Amino acid sequence: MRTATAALAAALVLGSGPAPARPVSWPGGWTAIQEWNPDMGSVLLHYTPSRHWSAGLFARRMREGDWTLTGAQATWLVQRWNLPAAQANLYLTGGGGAAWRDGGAVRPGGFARVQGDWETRRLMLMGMAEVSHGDGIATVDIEMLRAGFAPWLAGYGRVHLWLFGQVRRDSAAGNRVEPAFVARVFHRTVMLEAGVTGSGGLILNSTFRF
Amino acid sequence: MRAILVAAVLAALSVPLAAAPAQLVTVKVNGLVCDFCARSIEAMMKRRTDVERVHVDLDRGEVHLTLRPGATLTDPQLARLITDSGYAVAAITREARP
Repeated sequence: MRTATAALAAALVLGSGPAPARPVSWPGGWTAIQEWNPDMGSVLLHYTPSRHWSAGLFARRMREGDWTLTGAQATWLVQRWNLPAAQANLYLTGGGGAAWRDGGAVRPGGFARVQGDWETRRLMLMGMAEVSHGDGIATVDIEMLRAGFAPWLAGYGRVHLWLFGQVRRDSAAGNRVEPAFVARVFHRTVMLEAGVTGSGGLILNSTFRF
Repeated sequence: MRAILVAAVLAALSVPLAAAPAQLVTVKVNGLVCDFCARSIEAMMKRRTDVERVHVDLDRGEVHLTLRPGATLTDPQLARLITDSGYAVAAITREARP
């Protein structure tokens, strides 16, 4: 299991937690999401059968607690509000599979998340709350709030830049509320994020749609 | 005689099709604020063989389509494509391209 953990950790570093990008794509579309932050790394590959939901496989490394959770997950777009100059979304995500602490036995595990966002062409707000559980291993809850703006309004097909301020609380990190600055760049179907936390930790996220 | 009649009917049918102009369609869309997400519209439209070109105007909140001559894409079908892309249709206008 240590080998599997090491391989997964390497994949997460190369490539990934709670998804900051839209977790449901277009019908027939695939999405690969990778996230990396001081508390967690994760990878997710999902398929969107309809505009209402997506399903996929995930793996996440809980870096603060030194345990791993992997399995299948599904996201339901509970509600989307399409307004003349804004859009807002509410998502529910759940996943289940196997969990293990480094060198320990494999146990059942899973997570549940609620996520919402509101954005215009210039402003964006996002909130997320999540609980992850590994049977006999740990239970961790994470909450995150983000607010950001686009310094310029780029046209369709151009490079878009967003700058975010973020606060995140992780129960595995002593309930510390960690502020962070994150820059998001996206072009067509590729989105990249890089940031730094208040304590100097690195944030690297990416999303690819195809 | 039969062959001549068939040929005449086919010719009569084909002339209007060949002469039919391409159509420019403007769809006013609610919720169209994000380039990354609006890729869904392009992906859905490109599945239609009668859609020649897709352009998204984020500033106006509009999707501009150029339909091939003889295209059969109706307003309800178009609205369904936009809805399946994750957006809401506010209005659809069509004009023939000269």
